[in-house]
Amino acid sequence: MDDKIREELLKYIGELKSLYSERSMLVMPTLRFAQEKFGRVDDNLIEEISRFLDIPAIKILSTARFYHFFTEEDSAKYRIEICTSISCSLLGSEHLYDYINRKFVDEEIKNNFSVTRVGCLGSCGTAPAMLVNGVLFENLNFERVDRVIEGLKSGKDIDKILG
Amino acid sequence: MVRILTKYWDEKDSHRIDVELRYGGYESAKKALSLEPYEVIEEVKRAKLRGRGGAGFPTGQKWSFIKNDNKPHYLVVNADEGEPGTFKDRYIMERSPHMLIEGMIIASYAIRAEMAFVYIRGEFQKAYERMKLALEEAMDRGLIGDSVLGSKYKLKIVIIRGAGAYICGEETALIESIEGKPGRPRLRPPFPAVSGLYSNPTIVNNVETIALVPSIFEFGAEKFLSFGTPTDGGTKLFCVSGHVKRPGLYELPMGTNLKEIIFEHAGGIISDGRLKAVLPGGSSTPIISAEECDVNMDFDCMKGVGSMLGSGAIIVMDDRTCMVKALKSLLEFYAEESCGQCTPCREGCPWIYKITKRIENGTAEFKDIDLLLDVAENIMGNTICPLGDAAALPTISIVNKFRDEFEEHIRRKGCYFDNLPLAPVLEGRSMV
Ligand SMILES: Cc1cc2nc3c(=O)[nH]c(=O)nc-3n(C[C@H](O)[C@H](O)[C@H](O)COP(=O)(O)O)c2cc1C
Ligand code: SF4
Ligand code: FES
Repeated sequence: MDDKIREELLKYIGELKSLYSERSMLVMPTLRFAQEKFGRVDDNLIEEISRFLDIPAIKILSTARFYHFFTEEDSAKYRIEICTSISCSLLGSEHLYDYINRKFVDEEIKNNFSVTRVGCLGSCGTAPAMLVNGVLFENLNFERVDRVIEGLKSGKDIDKILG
Repeated sequence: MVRILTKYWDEKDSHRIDVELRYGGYESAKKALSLEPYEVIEEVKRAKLRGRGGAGFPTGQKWSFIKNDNKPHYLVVNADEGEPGTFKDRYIMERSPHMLIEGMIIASYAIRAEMAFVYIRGEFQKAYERMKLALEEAMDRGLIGDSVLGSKYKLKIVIIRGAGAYICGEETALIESIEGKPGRPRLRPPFPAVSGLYSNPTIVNNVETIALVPSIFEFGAEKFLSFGTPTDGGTKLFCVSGHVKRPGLYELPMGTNLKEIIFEHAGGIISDGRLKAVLPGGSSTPIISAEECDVNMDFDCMKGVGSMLGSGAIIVMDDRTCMVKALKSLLEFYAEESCGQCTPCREGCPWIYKITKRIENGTAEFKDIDLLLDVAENIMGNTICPLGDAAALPTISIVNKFRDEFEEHIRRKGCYFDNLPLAPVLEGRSMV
C-alpha cells in the first residue's frame, strides 16, 4: 500500500467525520471513495479502511463483497452496463446487448471494454438505456451505440460523446 | 389539472434555490414549524397521504408511531429507486430537490428528528450532484442546520449513496446499509419506528411521499385530499414505459383511469398495435390483461382487480410481446437481486427463472408449467422481506392469465414470437 493512497483515504475520512454521527456510517461512503479513486477495493484497502475507521476488517470485507459496485480486481477501462430489465427489454435492449457483444472481435474493444447486463437504471421512459463508466446513455439504437463506442475509442470525454 | 411535484419543471434550472423560492419554496415549512409536531402529523393524516414507495401505508399514521421519548429519532428518505419500470424519484431529485428538502424539514420536525438521511441509489449521478448542491444552498441560506428557518429547531441532512444492490430499497436493508453493513433485511417486528437505525426510532419514507408533504401545508389538508380520491390524497407521478407512443412521467390525480393514462396521456400503443397486458405498478405487481385496464389507479381500486398500485410504474405491452420472454426478463432481475438469507427466495427465484428460460428456449416439458407455479406459490409468504413475493406474484399472474402461450412454447419447442424490434422513433416523450 503506497503512502499516497493512505494519505488520500485519511484525508477523505477526516473530511467526512464531522458530517456523520457514527463511525460505521462512514463505511459505505469510504468504500465508494476507494472504488472510484483506486478502481478496486482489494484486501489491502480494506485493511487500511478498517484501521482508519477502527472497525474490524472482517466487517468491512463482508460489506464490500455484498455490493456489486465494489470490485476486488481492477475493472476494464470502459465498463458498459446495459439494462436488460423489462421496459428496456420490451424496446429491444437484448438486441443491443448482442450487438455490442458481437463487436468483441475487435482487439481494441476486447482489451479495453467490458459489457454486462444490469437491472433497471431508472430510465425506463427513455429506454433502452445503458451506463458507460457510470455515465447514462438513453434512447439507444444501433447507430447511437456505434457512436458511443467510436467516441470512446477515439478518447472523447464520455460526457460529451452524444452532445 | 393541478401539478404539485412537476409544477416548475419546465423552468430553466428548476433545481436551484432561486427558482424554488420564486415559487414559494420553504413557505410551507415555515407554516409547519409554527405548529406543534402532533398538529403537523394530524394535518398529514387528514390529507390522507399514502406512501408512494409501493405499499401505500398512510404516512401520518406511520409518523404517529414515533413515541415522544428521549432517544435520537431519524428520518430516512428512500431514494434507492430500483424497481424495474420506475423512474420518478430520480427526476424529483434532479428537477426539484428543494421540494424534497422542504418535505424532509417538515417530516423531521413532526417526528422530532434532528438528523435525516437521503439514501440515493448508487447509479444515480446527476440526482446525487443536484441533491448535494441543493443541500449546500439550503445550508448557506439557513434553511437547514443549527437553526432551521430561524427557529430553535436543529436539523442535519446527510446523503448516503448506495452501491448497486436493489434490495437496499427495502427499508430495513437500507438501514443496515447506512450502518455500514450488507443490505440484508431485518426480521420484523420490531418495526423501524420502534427500533430502526442504530436501534433508534426511525421513519423511512419514499422520495415522492416526502416531496408531496409541503403541498399539504401550502393548500391545506382538505384541498390536498381533493386532488386525489376520498381515501388517497394528492397527485401521483405515473411512470409510463414500454410500448406506448409517448412514454414518460405524468403527474395526474391519484385515481386516474389506467386506460386514460395509456391512450390519452401516453398517446396509445406504438405502431398502432393492440394493447395486450400491463404491469400496472412496477415489475413486482400482478399483471392485468387489456380487458382489465378500465380501472382507476389508486391503492384500493388496484387491489380490486387483483393487482397493486405499487410505485405507479405502468409497463405497457403490445400484442407482439411474448409473455414467456417478458416473465424471463422479470425473473432474471429478482434471481440476481435476492440477498440470499431466506432459502425460498435464494433458491426459488433462480429456479423459477431457469424454468422460464427452459420454456422459452424449447427444452421444457408440460409439467414444468405446474412446477413453475408450485415453486412460485411456495416462495409466497415464506420469506423475511417481500422480495420473494415480488418475484412470485407476477409469475403466478402471468402464467395463469397467459397459460396458453406457455403451453404453445412447449408444444412448438421454443419461442414462436418474432423478436421485438428495437425502440422505434417516437412521437415525443413526456417528462412532465
Ligand atoms: C425488495 C424491495 C425493494 C424496495 N425498493 C424501494 C425503493 O426503491 N424505494 C422506496 O421508496 N421503497 C422501496 N421499497 C419499500 C420500502 O421498504 C418502504 O416500504 C418504503 O420506502 C416506505 O415509504 P413510503 O411509506 O413513503 O411508501 C422496497 C421494498 C422491497 C421489499
Ligand atoms: S426474501 Fe429474498 S431478498 Fe428478502 S430477505 Fe429473504 S432472501 Fe433476502
Ligand atoms: S427497465 Fe431499463 S431503465 Fe428501467
